[in-house]
Amino acid sequence: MSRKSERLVNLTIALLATGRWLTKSEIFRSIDGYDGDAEAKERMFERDKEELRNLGIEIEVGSFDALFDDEVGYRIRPEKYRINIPELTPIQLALLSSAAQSWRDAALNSQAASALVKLKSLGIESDVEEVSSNPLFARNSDENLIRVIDAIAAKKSISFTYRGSDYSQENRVIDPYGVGTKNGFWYMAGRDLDKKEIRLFRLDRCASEIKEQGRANSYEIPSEFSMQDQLASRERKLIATLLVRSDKAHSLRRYGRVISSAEEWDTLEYSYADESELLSDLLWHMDDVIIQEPVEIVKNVQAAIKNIRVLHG
Amino acid sequence: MVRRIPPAEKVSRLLDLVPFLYSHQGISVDDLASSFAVTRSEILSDLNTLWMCGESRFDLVELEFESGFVYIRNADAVNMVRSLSAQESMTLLFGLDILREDVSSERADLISEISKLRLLLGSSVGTSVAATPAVTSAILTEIQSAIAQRSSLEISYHSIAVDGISTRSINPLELFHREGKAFLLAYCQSAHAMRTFRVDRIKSAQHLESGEFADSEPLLEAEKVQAVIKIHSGLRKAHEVFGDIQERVDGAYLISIYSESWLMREILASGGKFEVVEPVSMREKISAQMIAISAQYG
Repeated sequence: MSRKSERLVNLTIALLATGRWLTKSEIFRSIDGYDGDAEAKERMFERDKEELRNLGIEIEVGSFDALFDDEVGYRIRPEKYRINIPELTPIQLALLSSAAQSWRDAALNSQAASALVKLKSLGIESDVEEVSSNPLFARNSDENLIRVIDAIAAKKSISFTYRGSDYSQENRVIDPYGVGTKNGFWYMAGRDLDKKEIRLFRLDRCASEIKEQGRANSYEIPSEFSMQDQLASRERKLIATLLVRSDKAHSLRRYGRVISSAEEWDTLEYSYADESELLSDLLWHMDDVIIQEPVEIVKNVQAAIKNIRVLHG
Repeated sequence: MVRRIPPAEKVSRLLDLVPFLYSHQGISVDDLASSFAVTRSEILSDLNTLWMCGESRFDLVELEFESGFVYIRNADAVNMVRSLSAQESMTLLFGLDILREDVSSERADLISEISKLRLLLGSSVGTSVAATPAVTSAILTEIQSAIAQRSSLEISYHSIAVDGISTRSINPLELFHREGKAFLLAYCQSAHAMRTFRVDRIKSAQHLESGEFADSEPLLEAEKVQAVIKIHSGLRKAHEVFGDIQERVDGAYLISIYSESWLMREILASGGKFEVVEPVSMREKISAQMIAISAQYG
């Protein structure tokens, strides 16, 4: 096993150090570990190239002479191998270190550690004094998070089972576009291949391991996609008139404007996004809130009240 | 059991070791292992492998680490920091988003640096990542760990009713979500009563020394009561709202709750999806409450 790692490192060194194209026969001659007949060597080399490519190392293939159908050669361009970040300031490095540390003991711990190692290898002093040494923690240990970001990096489709609103498990296949967190929940967004549209999924509602399927680079993330937009709250475009007991229902007042007050009741002009959500919020506040308009929702509230009363009668 | 390391992961580390060692000549083996988040034996195995690598079998990387301190020479060809992988960039982007929430708003300079870094790293993956923990991320984390450890928190809370910030000691019990907002049900030691807090109005939360919880509220564990509910629809929601629910043979579910008034609100908010079976007194309260609300609609 360590022979294989050795061979891959040696191959990388050879392809980086060369100032010209290296042919396969030169590679097989100078690097230990390419054993067996020509076909076996060939297979080994193809696999090795694939492994390095998965590590993000681009091996270029070229010909010595374009005019003749010559033997092809291989090389790694140092400028493509090398990190492409303009000079970081000590404060920037400290911020990045702090960002990496927010994953300590969480799902992306090893990705954070390897990123940090690279940044520290740049030989820049970090100005830790300036940046809080006690960062917030991501505290998500869901291994599915790693699988999603791996799939996004490789542009591979993924499949998983997802809990529907009745808790049943449905199989889903998506092209993942993004991952994010909001209100303490983690979400992924992607194009659902059956529903043929972008859907948002809560990671804690995945009932199975997320599995990659198909080939790498099987899709592209549309340029207009933004995870931030996916997680944005719905606009509160609709208006209801509520009577709210004074000093009560503070969570509703945040989205409302008191237009008048009389005795123990305030009249609130309340903006909301979704009727069923409004209904549920009204009921949650019990007898501290009375809805006056729109009339259809008043009827729905009364129907729900009757329903609950019958259930518990 | 020793974890079998996939070759790709090992190769990746070997290649990253070279520039790291060049910029940290003489680092101790232990510090090196912790920088790479691996064990001492894993890093020693890496060094032993790297030692056998080079431009040719006559021109190997020179490594010295028998003294416990590591020096590297003759690896110039790979003495280059590799590009960040997409996964590494995404990990840092999440970290930066989270960090931005933690940086005091007075430090506009740091916030602007964070935005610059986000652009710098985000060339290909920037739009795939968004962490908007609002103010709640740090606090949620504190609360979750306090609930798990049954410990007390000291919070400063922005109360809208009096429009002021108060400091309270609380024993957090349940986190729940309404309207996409996180709420915390807790026993408030300051008020000697159960209280519901909007998590985004909790301005800070600090663990109190362990033991205080047990000393001041020894009966709390016993306060958890059981109830039986029927779930007519929305089973997933029930799992998420009530946590650990157990189905009985008759199809109803056994749940454990801390507060009857909280349960009552959740039952009402379900609009008839959930029904209380037991305790019977709770059914009567709900029924009475429904009559009261009906009366308000005349």
